[in-house]
Amino acid sequence: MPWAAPFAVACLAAAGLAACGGGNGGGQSQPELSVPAYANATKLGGDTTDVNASRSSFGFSTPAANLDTVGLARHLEGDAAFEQAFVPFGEPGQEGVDGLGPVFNNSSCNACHQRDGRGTPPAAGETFTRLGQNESLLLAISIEDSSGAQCEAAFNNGYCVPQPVPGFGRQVFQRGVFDARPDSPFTGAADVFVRYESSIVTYADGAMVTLRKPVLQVRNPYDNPGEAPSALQLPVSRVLQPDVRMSPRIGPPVFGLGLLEAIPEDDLLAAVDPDDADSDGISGRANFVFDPLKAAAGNPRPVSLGRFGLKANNVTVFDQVSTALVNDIGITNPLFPTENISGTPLHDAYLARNPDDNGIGADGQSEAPLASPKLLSFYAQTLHVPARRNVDDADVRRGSAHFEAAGCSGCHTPRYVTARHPDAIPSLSNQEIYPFTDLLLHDMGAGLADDRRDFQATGREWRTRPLWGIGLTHTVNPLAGFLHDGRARTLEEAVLWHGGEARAAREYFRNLPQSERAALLAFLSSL
Amino acid sequence: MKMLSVLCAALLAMLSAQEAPAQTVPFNAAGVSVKVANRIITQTYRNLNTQAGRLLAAVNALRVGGATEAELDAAQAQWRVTRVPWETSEGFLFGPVDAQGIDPLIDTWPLSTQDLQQFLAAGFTSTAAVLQAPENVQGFHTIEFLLFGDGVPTNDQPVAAISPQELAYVISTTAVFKQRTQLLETAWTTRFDPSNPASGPYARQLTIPGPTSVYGSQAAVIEELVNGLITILDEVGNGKIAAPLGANINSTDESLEESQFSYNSLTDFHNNVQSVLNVYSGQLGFKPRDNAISPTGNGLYTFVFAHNALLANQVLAAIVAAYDAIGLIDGDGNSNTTAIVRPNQITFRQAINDPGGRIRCQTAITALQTAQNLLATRVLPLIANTDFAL
Repeated sequence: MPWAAPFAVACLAAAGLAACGGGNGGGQSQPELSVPAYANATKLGGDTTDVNASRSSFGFSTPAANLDTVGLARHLEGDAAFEQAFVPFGEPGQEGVDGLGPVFNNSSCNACHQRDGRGTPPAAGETFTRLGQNESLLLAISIEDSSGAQCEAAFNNGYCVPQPVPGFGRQVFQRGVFDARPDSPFTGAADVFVRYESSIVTYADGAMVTLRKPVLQVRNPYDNPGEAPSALQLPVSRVLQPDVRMSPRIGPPVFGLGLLEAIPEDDLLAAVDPDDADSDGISGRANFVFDPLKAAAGNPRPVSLGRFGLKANNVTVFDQVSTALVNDIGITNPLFPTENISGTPLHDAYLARNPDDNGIGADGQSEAPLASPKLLSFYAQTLHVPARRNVDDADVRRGSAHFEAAGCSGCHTPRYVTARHPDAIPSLSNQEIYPFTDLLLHDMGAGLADDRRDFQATGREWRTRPLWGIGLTHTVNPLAGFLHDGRARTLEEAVLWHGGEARAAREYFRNLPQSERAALLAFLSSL
Repeated sequence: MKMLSVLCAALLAMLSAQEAPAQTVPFNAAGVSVKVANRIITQTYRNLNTQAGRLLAAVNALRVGGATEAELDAAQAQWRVTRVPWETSEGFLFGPVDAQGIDPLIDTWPLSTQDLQQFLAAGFTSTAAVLQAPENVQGFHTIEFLLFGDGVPTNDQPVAAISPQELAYVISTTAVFKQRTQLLETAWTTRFDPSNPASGPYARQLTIPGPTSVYGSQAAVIEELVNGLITILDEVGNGKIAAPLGANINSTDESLEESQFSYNSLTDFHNNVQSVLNVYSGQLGFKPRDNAISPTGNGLYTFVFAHNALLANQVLAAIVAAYDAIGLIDGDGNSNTTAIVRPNQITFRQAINDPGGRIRCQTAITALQTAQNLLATRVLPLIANTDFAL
């Protein structure tokens, strides 16, 4: 789509939005840009927003402003748990925080979600670099059905849960406790290496942006130590076989999750349009996924709407926290009481050497008691959402008009009103919020595709990321990366990676003159 | 990351809400941001890196097979000296120290002493080995563990108690530690993005807020600095002291005490509050009884003073009271030092298990909370009532 409103932009720039935008420009025969109502929103998280922590690196890590004293005390307790580093099983004097691994991706929540925000992508260049300590990136893996057929959810396929790679599971756990692998101390199931490929986007005005994309490689797998992919010979390790799909994922922000949890399901499903019946070029599909809480309660069809995770593959914050504890850190918990590599040769061999580190404590309970994931959930649920900045800035307001005109709000749905929170957290209930997401799946094109299905999500689909707080991302973590794998160093790069259903919006952006591209980015930065 | 003393904060919030609306005050924060970023924060990281170099030299003197008691004493002493700039950086734990993941590599607690011993027994003692090792077998507390022993029953193990593998490893892990402190200094003085030479010193992000900085305004910089102080006051009071202290003498949790091998915890707490004094006063190493604080000193005091001179001094007094209360925990009646060098002094671990010590710990917690609450409920809201120059 060519840039179609040069007059409007000139008019907006010269006369201000009130003259020809904002719905007050009647009588104009030229295309108009209207400033949407959400451009006036400031407290994006409703009454949870603390305006005194909305400009700095504390923007994501501040408790909801409307918590009562009991809630605040509980939140603060969860804060400490979020930062707690776990240690391997049996560490003297550390009984409350042991059980790390034996294989894992990181040793604390905070290590991937730095300051409760986006993680730092690996520091790599054009040559492969091994992921080391404190990496925010992990590699999700699974076996893909070669038929390409749409999965029909059923009990016998785990309701389309990604199929684990035999011997490895659904993640490459690149770290281990000392004795996880006698052949390779402190290594997990395999090493992960990353490098970046670059490409250049050129605007019509000649300006250029360099994009980068991570390329991941698995080496030194447990089932064939030392092996690395080679074009000259067939792979030996199971994890290197061609049917294995790999999807790099970077730690996303964790604030505002309780508010997202409190959006009425009907409001989300109202936007589902799998066949694009309204012909706006945007489909939007719900991901109905396995619900471990329903399963634990004996529900015969434990499937629910997924809201969380990069492919909407988790139902609740509690579900997601419990999943991260057992997978990313290797801490068993009541919802997932077996280790993340349970049943694999690696784990069997480890257990033979360390029979007591079996994920079950002396009391017969999992490594984390129920209180632990509940506390961590409450913490994430009750983090505030930062207020907007520069709301009245002319560029920001013009940018909001472009955001709307480009169709960004077709997926990044601005506004909801929460219902009673499912866990009855009062501060999250009945709030007018501006998350800028529909929590639905959208085809984002080949450039972002991981070709790995996740329940109903295809390899090209991702859940719409909330945009609230996104303008503070680099204030919170100056090295944070955007998009699912952290590849985008700037919001501009992130916009330019949009494809698939978002292609039209991206092209709208690409065809804007520089000043208007900057205005749209200024609006995003104000969120 | 931010904890508030629940009841006190609520009470103070109610009180402040009853006050008349404050007038907007014009304030150019450039002086504060330049002073704090360059003379406090960056200089603190420079000092850390310098002291880390001296620590490396001290442990390099511990040659396998030839180390002496005097050399071990010197290394232990230098560990304590190196600890000072790190603990005085904890009032501004934002930016590269988080973004580059340096904090856990420098200061992870708890350690995995089991994995460390297995690692050493398997002969992994080289610098290359440390670089591959997890954060819980390197950094300050690993060096502390190897130099001082496990702290039970003494923090002064003989040099003969250190195995050849441990000696080799303490040298390697200190060398890696020095690399990390160099990264921090470079981030604040040269470039904060290791992969982007054009990123420039992180200090510049604070000193030149605006469209090209991660801080969009002077207000953002002031908010950052105030919240940094609130966070460390909270962490010391409600975390580092209160958590091991427990609700009563039967529920202490000694495992939560950092620097427990060297008995340096009380000094750590003191230096954490020194960090607050430095940023608030605009003077590195500010000593309230020796140095004058000035409205033109370009610490946060200058900002608060522009609004309310009484409040500015009230906050200072609260911070000093917290500093003094920590100094008294060791029981010698002298608030000026917490070094455990005199017979009548007790360690933090002893204090939390001693009825009198527990009272002194609680007094310090209360003092820390008072300072924290003043900053949270009286100082932070001033930002909204400020007409900043940018």
